[in-house]
Amino acid sequence: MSTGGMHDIVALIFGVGIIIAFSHERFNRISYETGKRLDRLVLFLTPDKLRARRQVTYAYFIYTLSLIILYLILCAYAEVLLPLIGGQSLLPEIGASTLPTEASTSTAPLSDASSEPTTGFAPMGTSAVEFWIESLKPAVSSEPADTNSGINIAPEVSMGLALIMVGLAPSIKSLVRVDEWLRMFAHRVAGIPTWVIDTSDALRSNAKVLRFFTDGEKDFSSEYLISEPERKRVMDLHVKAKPFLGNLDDFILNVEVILVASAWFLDEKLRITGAGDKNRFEEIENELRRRKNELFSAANNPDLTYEDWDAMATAADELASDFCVLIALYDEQDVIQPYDQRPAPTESQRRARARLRQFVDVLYKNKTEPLMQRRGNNLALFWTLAIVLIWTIAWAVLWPGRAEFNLTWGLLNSDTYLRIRLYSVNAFNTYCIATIVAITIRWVRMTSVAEDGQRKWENMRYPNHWTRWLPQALSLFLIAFLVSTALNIAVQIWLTETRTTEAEAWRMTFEEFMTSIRWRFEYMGPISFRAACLAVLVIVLLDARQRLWTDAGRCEQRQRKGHPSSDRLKSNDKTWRELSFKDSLIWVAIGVLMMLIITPVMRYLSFLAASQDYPRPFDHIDAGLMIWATLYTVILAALVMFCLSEVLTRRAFYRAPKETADGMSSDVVGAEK
Amino acid sequence: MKAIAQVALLSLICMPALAAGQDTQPETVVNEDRNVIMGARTDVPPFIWRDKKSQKYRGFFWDICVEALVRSDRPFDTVPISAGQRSDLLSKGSYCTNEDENYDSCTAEIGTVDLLCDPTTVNLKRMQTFTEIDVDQTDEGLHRFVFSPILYLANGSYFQLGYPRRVYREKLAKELERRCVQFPELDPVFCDKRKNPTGLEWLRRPDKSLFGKKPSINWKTACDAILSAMTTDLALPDSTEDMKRKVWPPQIWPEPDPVEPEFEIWGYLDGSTIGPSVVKAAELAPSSVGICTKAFKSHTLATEAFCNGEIYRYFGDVDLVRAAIDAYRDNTDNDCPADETRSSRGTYEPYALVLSNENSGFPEDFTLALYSMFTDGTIAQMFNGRFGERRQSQYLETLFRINSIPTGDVNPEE
Repeated sequence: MSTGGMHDIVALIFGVGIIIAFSHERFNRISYETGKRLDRLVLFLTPDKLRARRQVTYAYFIYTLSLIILYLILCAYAEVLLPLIGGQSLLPEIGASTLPTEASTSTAPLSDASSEPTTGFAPMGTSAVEFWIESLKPAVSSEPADTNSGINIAPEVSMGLALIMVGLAPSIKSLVRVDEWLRMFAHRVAGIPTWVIDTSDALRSNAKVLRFFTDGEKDFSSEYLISEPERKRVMDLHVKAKPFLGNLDDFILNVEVILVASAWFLDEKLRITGAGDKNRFEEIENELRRRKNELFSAANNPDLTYEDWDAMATAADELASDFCVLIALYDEQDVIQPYDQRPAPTESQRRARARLRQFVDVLYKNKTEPLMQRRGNNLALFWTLAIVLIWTIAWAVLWPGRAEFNLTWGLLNSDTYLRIRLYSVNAFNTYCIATIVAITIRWVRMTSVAEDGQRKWENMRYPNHWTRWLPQALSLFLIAFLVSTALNIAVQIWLTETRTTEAEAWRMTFEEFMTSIRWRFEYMGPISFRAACLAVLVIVLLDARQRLWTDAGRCEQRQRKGHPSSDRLKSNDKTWRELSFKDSLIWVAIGVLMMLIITPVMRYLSFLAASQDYPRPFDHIDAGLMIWATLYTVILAALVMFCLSEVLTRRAFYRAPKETADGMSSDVVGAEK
Repeated sequence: MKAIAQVALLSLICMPALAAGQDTQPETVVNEDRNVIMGARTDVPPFIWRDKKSQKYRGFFWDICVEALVRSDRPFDTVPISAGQRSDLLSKGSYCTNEDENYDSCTAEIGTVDLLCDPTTVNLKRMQTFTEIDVDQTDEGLHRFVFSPILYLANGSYFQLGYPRRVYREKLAKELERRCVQFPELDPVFCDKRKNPTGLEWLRRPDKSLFGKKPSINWKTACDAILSAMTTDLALPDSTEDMKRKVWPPQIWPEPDPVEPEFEIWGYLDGSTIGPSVVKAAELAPSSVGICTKAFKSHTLATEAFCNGEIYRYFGDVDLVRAAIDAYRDNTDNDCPADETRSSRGTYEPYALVLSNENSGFPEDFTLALYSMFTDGTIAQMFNGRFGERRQSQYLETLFRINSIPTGDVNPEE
């Protein structure tokens, strides 16, 4: 297939590289319907500024992975899919490019002997004896392993598709829509932009902390690093606006927020740690500064009408809101670190920092739980993927995989790299995809809140009622199963039937195609079934750990505040503290037991599917393959369950933040005195 | 009018051929002391054979023989000759007229022929034999045989069964596996059982040194056993053992299939010129495949064995083999899964007739008649009549041209 130009595999890898290189840029395109809240700032806010990089990693991973899978599927099935979505022009023309010359079409008989039956003598060329025994020699051995080095994806197609997908080539409409949908989904997973809106709302609700102006004698302005003229300006405004504004108090609070925030961050009176990261927000800061100046110069006009004051109140409200967005972003991006333990240089700085901590504390009250959830998700995902891939590669390289592979194909020897390739592609399509899908679903459901205020995700380990967890478990299992089966079938069909232009798949009728799909589904389905079971088990473990660490955290907070905890909180707190090595072993036992039951059954189903065309009894080789498959899945399940259980228990989830929380609270208390 | 004249002319031309087909025993003018005795083969279609129903002879060579005798003005009597009798004629100069008896223990009359109308392959050895017959003869006034000019070039090759050797083996195995008890030499070929690995071996299974090796078989004795087991009259012994491996213990290491010794049985007609080459080829065959050869008494028997899947290749002159298989297909309802692709090339088998010069002047007259038939196109017409659907091979065409010698007339146009 390499027609003088780039080799097709190189082109495909190059295409994947292009996708990866551009995926970050595309991920940062705005996908959300820009609500009013961010309208004013949207020019300056790219998605990666809206969330800290570590929070976006998972979503970015999902997005890039989906793009690559989409790209590979489009490449593999270019001939079928591209015309459907309107990309014909990309493909080289199908069919013969030239008409063959007459000589090559008809296999003209070179001698009188070959085509037409003749009678009478025709010599053999060799001696009779040689001629007769020549055909006894064994034919060239037929290896089932593919000898086709090419992947039969035209370089034009793979490169062209890559450029289309990153938007450098004229795009295909439906592809753009899919890309938008994927990005929206990824952003939603990452909490973009909902998170920043929620956070700024929370900050505004706590705005009274920044109140420095009082009618009375007390003056806190120096605590906020507010200069005297500014304080005067507020007093002045207070007097001026009084006759015009009904909600004077709100207006003054907004002005206070604007003044404090601009003093701290725009004028950089507050010493903050992450000054370098702050540069990323320079544009938005300049914009806010411009609007602030505009607001106050308008206020200096002596002849202000009632309508002017109203407009000014609105402007101040918006500006204060935007400052809250900015502070939320600072906090997210670690520009400000309120709980920084380093000592403040001066007393005023220390007090200002204490005020800031007080202000953003509202974020930290509920911050640990979602943070831990996300961390649990990431850990579960990456540990599972790593264990699956490492174990699979080890299996493929070592003798068990060799024996299983050779037994399957009836070989005495096979190429190690071929085994690694086939096994890891298969493992990725089953175990990895099933886990990714399951964890993503869980995460999306968990972050979205239903109308009744309850989380849409039901904890699978400590469920309320079977009507809540059963549909959830079933749909989770089904989606993971179907996605992984679909990918597996796509890869299988591509590997076996579409790699040559004269391959079967292109000539099949729809019925034949459906039969082929059905057969593959029956054969590959059981493999994905095992993977989906493992994925569900991983989710149950994740839920179990999450409930324990959340409850333990809540219990401790309540204790600190002197509230009584419920029995459930107490017992879960106790369980969490007493989690031990033995507990991990119990999870291992559950996983092993599940696989011990499921794998032989599923392997038998695969056997039934494989033998339905040529019925044959279950023989010793099928039994041997069943043993290998069971061994593989049992050890895989044991490794995954053990490592996950350990990592979700030992990687300080609640315990570490607990201590800093203590320190901080005492600090705040001290500041308030 | 013109058309009628043409038809009349045509029928005149065809007259001799028609007369020949009716097997008349002409009692025309006898210018010699006795009739020519023509020995006619009864069983070698498409060259010469006797129709079972009408008891009349047919065939390409029959047409030639009769026409040539008529042209040379020789009245003749026809005697049937079987394959065995022909073989005696060629080696001893005479044959036992009772075809069921052996030549040496012949109680019936010993006879001979003036013309052997049979597709006989010309070779030096046979010519040599003819000279020796003359020397050795003391009584009975026997004569010298000579070969006529070469009339036909045949391909010596084989037909093969239309399925792979493995399938052929399995077909035979059904019966032969159970005969291992009666013929112990069959053991290595058919009854080599898979040994279940012992504990240690089972663990070391991927070790290549433990893989089964190709069995080395003494094919000479094995072939004898196979051939006699196939034709034995012994009742099949009751088989009790199931050869298949059980599900338990499962196989977890890849194991090579037990190497089944492959073999083919090659059949040929006893006494045919191709026979020695077949035997030699069998000896020189690669050791991976055992070759057993089996000689058959007649084409009918050989065809039956071939079509029943008892022999894998059927060697012989291709035209004869093809005709025999066609006859088998016509006479029985069974199909014969023959693959004739390899038969398009073969050994050189030039056919000629055997003439006796006892009857003075007969060989010369007969040869003259033959050449005149080549020259005027009669033989080409006869060929088309018998082999119409098949084209002549390049070499056969050349032979016909070579044999069409010039008339030698001073003025051929007149």
